[in-house]
Amino acid sequence: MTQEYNCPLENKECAVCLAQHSAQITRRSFFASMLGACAGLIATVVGTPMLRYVLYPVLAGAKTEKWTEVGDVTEFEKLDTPVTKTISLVQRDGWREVVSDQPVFISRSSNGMLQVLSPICPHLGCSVAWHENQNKFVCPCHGGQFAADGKRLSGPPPRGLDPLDVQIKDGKLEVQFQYFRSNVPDRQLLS
Amino acid sequence: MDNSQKNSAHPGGRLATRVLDWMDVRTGVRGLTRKVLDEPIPGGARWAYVFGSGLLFIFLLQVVTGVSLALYYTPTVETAHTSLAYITKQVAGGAFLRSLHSYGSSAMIIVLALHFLQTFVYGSFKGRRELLWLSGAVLSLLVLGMGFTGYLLPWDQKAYFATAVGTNIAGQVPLVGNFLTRILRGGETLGTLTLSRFYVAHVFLIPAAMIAFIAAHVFLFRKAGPAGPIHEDPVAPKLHPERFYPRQVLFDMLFALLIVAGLAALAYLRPVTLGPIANPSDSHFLPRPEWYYLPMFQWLKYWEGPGVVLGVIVIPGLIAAGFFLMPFLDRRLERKIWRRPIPALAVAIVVSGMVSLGIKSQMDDQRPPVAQQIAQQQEEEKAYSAAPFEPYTAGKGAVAAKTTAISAVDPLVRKGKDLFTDRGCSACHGDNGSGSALAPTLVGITTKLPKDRLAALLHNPNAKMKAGGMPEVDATPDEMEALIAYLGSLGKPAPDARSAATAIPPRIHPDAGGAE
Repeated sequence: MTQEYNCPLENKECAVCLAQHSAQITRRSFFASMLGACAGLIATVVGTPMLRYVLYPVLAGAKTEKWTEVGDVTEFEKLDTPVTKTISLVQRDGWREVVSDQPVFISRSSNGMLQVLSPICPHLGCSVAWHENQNKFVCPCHGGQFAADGKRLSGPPPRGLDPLDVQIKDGKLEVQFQYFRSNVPDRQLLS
Repeated sequence: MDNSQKNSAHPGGRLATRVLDWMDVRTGVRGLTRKVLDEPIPGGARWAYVFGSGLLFIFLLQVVTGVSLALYYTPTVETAHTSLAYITKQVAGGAFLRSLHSYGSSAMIIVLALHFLQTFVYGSFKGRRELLWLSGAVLSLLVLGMGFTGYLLPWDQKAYFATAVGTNIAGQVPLVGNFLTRILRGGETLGTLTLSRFYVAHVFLIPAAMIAFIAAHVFLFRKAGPAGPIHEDPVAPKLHPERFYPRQVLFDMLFALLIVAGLAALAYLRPVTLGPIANPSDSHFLPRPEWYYLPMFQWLKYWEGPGVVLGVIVIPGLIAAGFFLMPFLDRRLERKIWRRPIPALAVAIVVSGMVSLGIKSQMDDQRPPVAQQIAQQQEEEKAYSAAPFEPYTAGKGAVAAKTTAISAVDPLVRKGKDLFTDRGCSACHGDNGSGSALAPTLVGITTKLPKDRLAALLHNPNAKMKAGGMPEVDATPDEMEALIAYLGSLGKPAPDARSAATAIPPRIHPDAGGAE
């Protein structure tokens, strides 16, 4: 564009004009594609890490197993009715580590094995309580009822209380506290 | 640039063209683009003219990377360092983006120096360009202010101590010095208020001022027009002009690409380190400012006693005044540098003085015992950067302390706490009744409501409470007493939690009255 050729004839038969015109188009499109390539390169170099950076909390889903101690196994050996235990749950919240008290129920499953139940009602997430005199778990919100082994008895909850993964390590009962999707008939882990 | 004529010849056109036509009718975007891109440059495009747009590019890069950093960073003394460690050690791309931002600030200073030297040597500030120059001088100070305020934000050792020194320098100003230091720090000492102030300055105030002055600078530049090469008349250019687009745009773009490539290579190969968290009681730490403040740092070593005001305030003040008033001091339209010996000499003295002060400061730091201390600090910084991320855990101690305190105090309260947890109250009202998104805090509820009324409301919640999901509390009188004793023992509410007392109207609900 440094010098524009002024065609004396101002018509399309002028061969010099046509040549000049097409040369200009080639030159212009060359510059435009060069600029586009540069801009694209810069956007890629800065944009790719930014995208990974912004999406990090969303994509970093695969969490490591985290076991929390519930108590000595001997403590629960003679257990016949469910007991409540408050565990200290260590949870990561971004760059914070938060410790919160989390009650869980230790009970026996239908085949007599020790199990740890989440107190979170599978209906809408209220905390259920053990009612000794009625021999069942009752949810205070919408009246869901569960047997001592966690099975659903009555009320709106679509499934029984959720058993949590347990392990016994060095004589201690450990539990992996997790959250499950509410109001669905099967137990679906929330990451 | 004869697109419009071509378009009118083919009204159907491509979709992109049609969309652009639609936009153009409503915004005049074509005319605007043409005005921006067709700016005439006397004497044609040159590599020497890339520095201004290079600065604009770095500014945008700093905005983009800075906003990214703000996504995870928190400006409090307790959490700033941990959140930045999280960015650099955990978040994907975090170390790279932080390094880009940090090296970007250095690049800004370098390109700013080049922009200044080019404008000065070419005499491009002459010919009715005083305001253009002044807006640029203000921008230079703002850039230095960004460097100064940003340096504190990581809240590591060097950030803390360098800022302690930097804010003390302000204290040397006669009469108002102490006041200035206190304004900068938000008090006598460096603390969380200082961090907030620097954060607000770095993220809101200075960037806002920069955007305003960049707009003014660009506007004034377009008003005056490019001055062209050194032999051109800066007021009435005579050389054949070349339009800004495409050649100069391409030069500018390639320069931007060079900057990004250099910064990305540095950020990738040598990520910026993060030192251990600031420890104000460390009496051995030797603070060093960013490299572009080293000349000033070295300069301060030579002044003591009554001469301090001269060295720290008067001489730098005179240099700054000379810098600001350049177009008023070097007034003739003569642009050739060899015919402007006095300004050339003055700038040469100041620039070489600053360079040698910087070199001298580096040489001083090579001598023992300073060298060992600085080497050790660098080792500590590297070691900290390489160590795995440790999350922030202040909550841990606080929760544990609270629990022990309660269990030690009163068995009734202990029983109430167990009830509070077992009955699921804590699920909505939070651990220790501190409140959550689902339900208000219960802290202080016993001071707002008498015991019997509280018991009645718990047995039989009012309509507003029920609407919020509050169930009836099925408890024996003993249990209710324990629960209320526990509620009475609770500490302070979480700062952002609503209070349950606001959900309860002043008079007892008719239903609640008949419950007991």
